[in-house]
Amino acid sequence: MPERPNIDTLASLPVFKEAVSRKQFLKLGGAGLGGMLLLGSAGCGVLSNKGSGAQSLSVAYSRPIDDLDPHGASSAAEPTQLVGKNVYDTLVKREGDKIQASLATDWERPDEKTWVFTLRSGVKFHDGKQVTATDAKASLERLAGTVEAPLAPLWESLDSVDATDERTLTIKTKEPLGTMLPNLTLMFVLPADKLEDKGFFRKPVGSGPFKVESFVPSQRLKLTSNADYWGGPPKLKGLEFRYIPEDSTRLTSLENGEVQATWTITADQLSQLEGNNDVVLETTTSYTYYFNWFNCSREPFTDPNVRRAMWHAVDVEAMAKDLFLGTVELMKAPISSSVFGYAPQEPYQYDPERARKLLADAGHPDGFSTTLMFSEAYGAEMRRVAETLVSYWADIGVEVEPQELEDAQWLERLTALEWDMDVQTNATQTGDADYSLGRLYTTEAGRLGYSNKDLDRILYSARTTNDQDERADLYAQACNIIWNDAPGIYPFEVQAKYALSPDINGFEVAPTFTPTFRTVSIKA
Amino acid sequence: MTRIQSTSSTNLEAGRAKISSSIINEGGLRWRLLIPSVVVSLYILAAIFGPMIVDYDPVQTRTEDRLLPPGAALSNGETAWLGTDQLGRDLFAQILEGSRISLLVAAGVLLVGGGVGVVLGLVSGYFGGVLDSAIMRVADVQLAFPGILLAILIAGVLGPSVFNVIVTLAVTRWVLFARVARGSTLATKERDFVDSAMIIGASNFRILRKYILPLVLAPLLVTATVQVGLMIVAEASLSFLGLGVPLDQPSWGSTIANGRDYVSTAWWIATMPGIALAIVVVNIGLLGDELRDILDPNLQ
Repeated sequence: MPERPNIDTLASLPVFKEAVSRKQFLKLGGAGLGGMLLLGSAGCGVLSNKGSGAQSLSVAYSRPIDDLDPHGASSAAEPTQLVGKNVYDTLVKREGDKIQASLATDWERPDEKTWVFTLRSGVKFHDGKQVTATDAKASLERLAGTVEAPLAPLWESLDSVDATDERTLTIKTKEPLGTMLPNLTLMFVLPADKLEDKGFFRKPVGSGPFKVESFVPSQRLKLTSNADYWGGPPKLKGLEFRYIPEDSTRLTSLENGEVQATWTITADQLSQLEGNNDVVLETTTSYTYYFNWFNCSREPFTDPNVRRAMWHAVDVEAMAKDLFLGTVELMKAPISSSVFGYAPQEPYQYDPERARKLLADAGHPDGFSTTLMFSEAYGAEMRRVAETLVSYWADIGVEVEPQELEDAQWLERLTALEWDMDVQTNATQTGDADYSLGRLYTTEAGRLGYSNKDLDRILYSARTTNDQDERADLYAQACNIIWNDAPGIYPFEVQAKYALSPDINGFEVAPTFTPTFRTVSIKA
Repeated sequence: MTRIQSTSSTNLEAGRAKISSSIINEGGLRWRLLIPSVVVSLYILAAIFGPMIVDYDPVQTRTEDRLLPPGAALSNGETAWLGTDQLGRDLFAQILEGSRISLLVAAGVLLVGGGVGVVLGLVSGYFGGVLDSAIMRVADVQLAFPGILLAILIAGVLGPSVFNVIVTLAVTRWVLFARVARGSTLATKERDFVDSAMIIGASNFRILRKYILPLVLAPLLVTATVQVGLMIVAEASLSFLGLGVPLDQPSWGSTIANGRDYVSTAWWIATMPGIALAIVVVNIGLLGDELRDILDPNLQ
């Protein structure tokens, strides 16, 4: 066995020959500390963006950007739409309540089932090729024809798309499509000849204000500005999205100057931001809302009374006050209040007694066991919501096992209906009720096992008429049916909060959490 | 035969005598042994009996009591001595429950990983040859494999649970016990009394059990004590990453993870379990150091 060192051998080592006096130690320590502070502050000065005239903007984004294909399985995903709005163009775009021209300058409706769009001339893709109606036709056909695209159901009644000439696009539908314009705000136009190229979406080409420079999926996306953009070149030189999932880290990187914009901001972080002059907070109403779906094809959620009991067991007011500190609004319909088609309903009262009675009457006097799944991509706030829901349900005898899943796994199980309950947020990205109600709650949709023939008829009629007043009435009925049938719990709608560096000008707050950056500039 | 037996048993007795004589040593208390022993014993007692005395329901959330600082009063009149977390659950009760989980994991890994490691080490050292090479190569492969990766794999396939954490840690830790056991076995099997036992025809199993194992125990005890501290940290790390215990069980690691977003506001959520963890692990380490000093024949 090797000789073990003892005190004598240690003491003979040269390091310990001369005892270090206390004075010497303090001197050395003080010098070392002073040196570190000096280096540190010099380093900070070099790294900070302020006053250096840099024109690139960095965003700390809370969700991973995995997929830049706006026609595929990620077509409804917020990250993909965020990139889409900056890199690609759509025929029309939404501004508040109105639909405005974008790639299309004008449109007509010669009959109830035909729309004719006139495209802007002189628009080029990032590779220099002209944007023509053929590209718009190919893009729409691809989106409508991709089975796994969650946006494809919006285009069910598409009959034909024709590029009647280079700048004219004719869209024919099988029935009148009242949502043609809102739907087109999410139909991104890509080059027809490149759509099927392998690896195209690693560095895609569009006609938007920014071009893709480099893309590392789930980590970082770098964009440079498109000087030839038809709407005027962006004021920024470049734009970068960094994936930072932790709420506190995003805020710290904003306060440090590493990024100049970030969202989402949780309620608990607002207290940190109050009185902080280095951060500007912008707020607007949003289309985003929380909901807890029941898998209506699985016991015991096949019974609407069980679902209603689960809703009565939850104190949404207390949750809004305690967990969200007033940064959410209580929902009164299955969609946000700023969406076309919203109609307020009678709120479910917090009543655990009534919940227990409903359960007993439905044949579950001792409660039951079930599971609740959610994705970790929604952050720590979703975990708190899930755990609070579980606690309320435990009070009425329903034992719920919370399952936090990795994002891709969660999406897979969600679409395969392999879940009992699912809590998440969603946004009505077109600002039109058909996007959420018409796409998700029909029998055909098969998104949560819910089937109601009356609702199917109403949603169908609401989509297939061009009379917007008639549509509003029909959606009011749809809201009422869904609210009462409770295929899900609809607790709160989110206020869109953006935290910005005070050096930013021209930021347009978006209710969709997918802002465009063309008008943004950084004060030099 | 009596002489041979008495040599190994006297060694054991000598070891025992050393420990008990060490606590009171040369007219004074041996503080460096006493204090860590007391702290670790308190921890074990708290882990076993604490949750029975202090009620904690991991599912129950009280959102009106969230983020209260240490010493604040809860809405039901009780005091939250260490504060509440982001869902209003009392931190003191959470830490007690968490100590039980870390103790459970440490004990489980010691039993499973330690048990398997000791057996394989004894066999490997005693029989030598191909068996020895095979076992040690497996051990080398095991060590080369990053522990966290294995934890991710197991958590992904089997899902989070205390049992899976024990399995993961046992799989990564058995090698250390095997190596210590093997080293001691190699040294011991050369000694005269083992030769004598072989000559008189004792079976291999008997030799391993009666002659070699007692002498291997002393260094193993030291290894085990050191490893327990590291295992508690490993379990906390896994739970921090979300790969350890499930959501409804309050491990120290997951409580610290929950407190990550509140470091500048509700700092107590991450700090309190962190302090508990630090105190326990440091004291276990000190205890291990002292035991090594006591039991090592070279330092006498």
